[in-house]
Amino acid sequence: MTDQPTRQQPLIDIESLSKSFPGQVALNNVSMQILPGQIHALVGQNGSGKSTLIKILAGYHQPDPGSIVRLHGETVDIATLDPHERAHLHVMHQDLGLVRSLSIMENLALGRGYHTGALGRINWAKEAARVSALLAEFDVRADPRTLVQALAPADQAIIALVRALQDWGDGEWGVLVLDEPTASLPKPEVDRLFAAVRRIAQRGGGVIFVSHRLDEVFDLADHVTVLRDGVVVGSQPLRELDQTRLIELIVGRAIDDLYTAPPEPMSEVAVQTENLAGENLIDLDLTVRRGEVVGVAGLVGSGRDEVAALLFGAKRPVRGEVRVGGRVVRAPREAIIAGMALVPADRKGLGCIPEHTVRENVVLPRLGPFGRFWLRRDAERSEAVRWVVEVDIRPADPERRIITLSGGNQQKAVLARWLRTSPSVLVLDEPTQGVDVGAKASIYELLAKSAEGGTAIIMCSSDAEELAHVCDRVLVLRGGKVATELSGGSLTSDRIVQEILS
Amino acid sequence: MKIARSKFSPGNISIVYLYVVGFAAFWIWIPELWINWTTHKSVLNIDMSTKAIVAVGLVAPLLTNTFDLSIAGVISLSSVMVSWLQTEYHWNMWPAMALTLVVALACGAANALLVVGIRINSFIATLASGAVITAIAEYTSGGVQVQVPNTFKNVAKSQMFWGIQAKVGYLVVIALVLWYVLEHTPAGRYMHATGDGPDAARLAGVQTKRYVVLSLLICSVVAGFAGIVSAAQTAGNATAGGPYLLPAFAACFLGSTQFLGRFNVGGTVASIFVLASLVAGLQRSIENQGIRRILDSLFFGLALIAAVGLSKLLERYRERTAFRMRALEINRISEPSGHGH
Repeated sequence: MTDQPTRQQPLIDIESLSKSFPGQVALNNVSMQILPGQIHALVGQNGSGKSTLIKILAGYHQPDPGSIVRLHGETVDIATLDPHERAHLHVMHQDLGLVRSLSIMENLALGRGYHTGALGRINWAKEAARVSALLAEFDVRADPRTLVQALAPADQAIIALVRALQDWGDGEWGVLVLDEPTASLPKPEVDRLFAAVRRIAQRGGGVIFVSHRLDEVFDLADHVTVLRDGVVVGSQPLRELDQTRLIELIVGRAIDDLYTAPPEPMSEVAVQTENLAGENLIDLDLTVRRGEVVGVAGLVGSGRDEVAALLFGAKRPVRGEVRVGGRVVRAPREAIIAGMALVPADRKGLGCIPEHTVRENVVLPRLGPFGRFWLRRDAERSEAVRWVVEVDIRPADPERRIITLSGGNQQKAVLARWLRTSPSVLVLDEPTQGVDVGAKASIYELLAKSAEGGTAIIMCSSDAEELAHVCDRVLVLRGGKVATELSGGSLTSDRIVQEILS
Repeated sequence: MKIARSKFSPGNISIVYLYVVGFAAFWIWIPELWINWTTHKSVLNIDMSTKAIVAVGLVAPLLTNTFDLSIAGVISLSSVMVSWLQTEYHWNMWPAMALTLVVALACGAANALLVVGIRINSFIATLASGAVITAIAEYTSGGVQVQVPNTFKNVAKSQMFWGIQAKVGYLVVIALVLWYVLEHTPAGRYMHATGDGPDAARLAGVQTKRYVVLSLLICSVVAGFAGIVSAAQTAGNATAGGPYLLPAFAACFLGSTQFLGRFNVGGTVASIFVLASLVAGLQRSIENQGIRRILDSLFFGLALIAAVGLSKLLERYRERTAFRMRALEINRISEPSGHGH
């Protein structure tokens, strides 16, 4: 898809939109135009003002005076759109806003009303015909009477799309705002949803697409607007950009690459497993040397999701054993004493104690330096401050409860906790899940630095891109066994995905 | 000074404000009785000291998110036992006290076995073990009060200064020791971590089981000591423990809303002091005997409900505000679009 000629009247024209909250300017003079048929990506880190902009478009926040929003060329008050205007600027949230226990047809009729016959009787046949036509157009193979909850997630999302655009009259296209629509969808489903989105654009509708996943942005959108600190720092057709440049725009500093390549491994073995088996995992033999970064890939149920817990002794192996520096590890405490560290996938339940402060969380595994009988608070505090600075946690306040930080900063704090113990083996499970791109880059940097210092890193992840760039080699698990090991030239994200699925 | 402000904000030390208001009110209402050392002395000596000892012991298991309802039974048993050893077997009071504390420790160990070993929910396990322990106390006492020698009574009643009895001294010592252990040692930090995130704490290398056991042992020994003091106050009695259960929990939970926002020794002692003072003031201002008698239970019961209830309501209020905002948002975006019915 290409950009439409700029002469065309924009469907929505946002001009110098600002929004300030007490003590903070969330959006400053933001301008943005959506043309008919355009898929317009909106990207930015957490805290860039992206969510504020979406909330304003949804009519939830009142923008500051002086902000102008035009729909079809007419200036409107965005916070109090009338229903007709609202239909032409529809924000679709992750929860879709569908009534899951009603049928497709009933969901589409909600708000719109039914075709009725004499005495107000609903003309089901006519209604069904209308809905069937829409479903066919969007390639949803389901009867209009199917309950929404019986549909695949992608189909539910498509129904939500259809519901929004059914109110657009002929030649009167509106704008759909899709807020992270793919967050919970597997890849094949994402493709189906994207096909539907493209269909809307072909019909002449405009789409604002909000996503953290940059590969999707490149896949789907034709224009991108980048927000940083409440300001538009870039707005241009995507074909003029590559991923590196886009990341630079988002993060605001030049990152040679989002990923930091692994250092040269050393020869000394750090961790070794023998016939390690769990619920799904069968006989994993793994040897990782100091300074080596090894990735573990695989689908859910392939055994990948239990590798970390088994290595760390958090889950009892059905058989086999883990050795770190010659010692057998059977429990988390033994693992820590042997020099191991675990960053679990479930951050709030396992990775940290949510209601405790950053300081308490960071120092927990090793209180020894602060005194055996009387914890010296000042020593503890200065140590915490040191690590907050080291891993760049924001806000840089060690006395904040960790739950109040963003996902990326929580993860940095968890990482700080373990880097502080200078582990010889660092096991990570989904280390960058729910982490924005800026924090991601610094996490990769920290890991590479740690590997350089001689830490063996084992990274279990469902993000093939990440594994391909950060690891020396990647084990791909299938059906509980190591199906293949990729390294060197064969270590690409495409190969990983291919091996996972084959 | 952000920290200083939040430390003294009404939310954090409401118990202190409550005391100030109550103090002023009784000053106006019953000046002769209230501005009188005898009243406050008796609050310290009789109304609060033993209760507070039990309550600070209870802080330890509550910090590890473990309930100990067996404290009432342990108090009863040790009260009966320390008296019985002296009157029936003519033991000297020191070995009698020592053995009693060992038995209290054994009760704690039994609780630990049920809670940590067999993994029975602590609420259920200690409710049951408390009943069994009470039954043993009743059997031993034969259902009557066991008198104690006069020398033993000095354990509780010997005066320190200004007419303050030794019991208050014990409270101060035990509270200081527990404050130190729970707030300033690695063990205290690990207990805290165990209570707030048991799985996360375990993955951080904390031996969570060990600290739950430790907290149950501390609680039982302290309750056992309280039982000894209560026997020295009057006599060995198999029903001695019952009245301590509610005040201890009320003080701990009310204390957890004070000072640090979690279970803590200082808040617990302060809560029990303020509640006991207010009850004492009311008892001295109300003529009606019937009302006077129920004030204690009424006050501590209400305090427990208020402490737990208010924090829950606050939590719900926050959740609901968030929910309402979300609902508003969704309503706006899926408003009827004018085609009507």
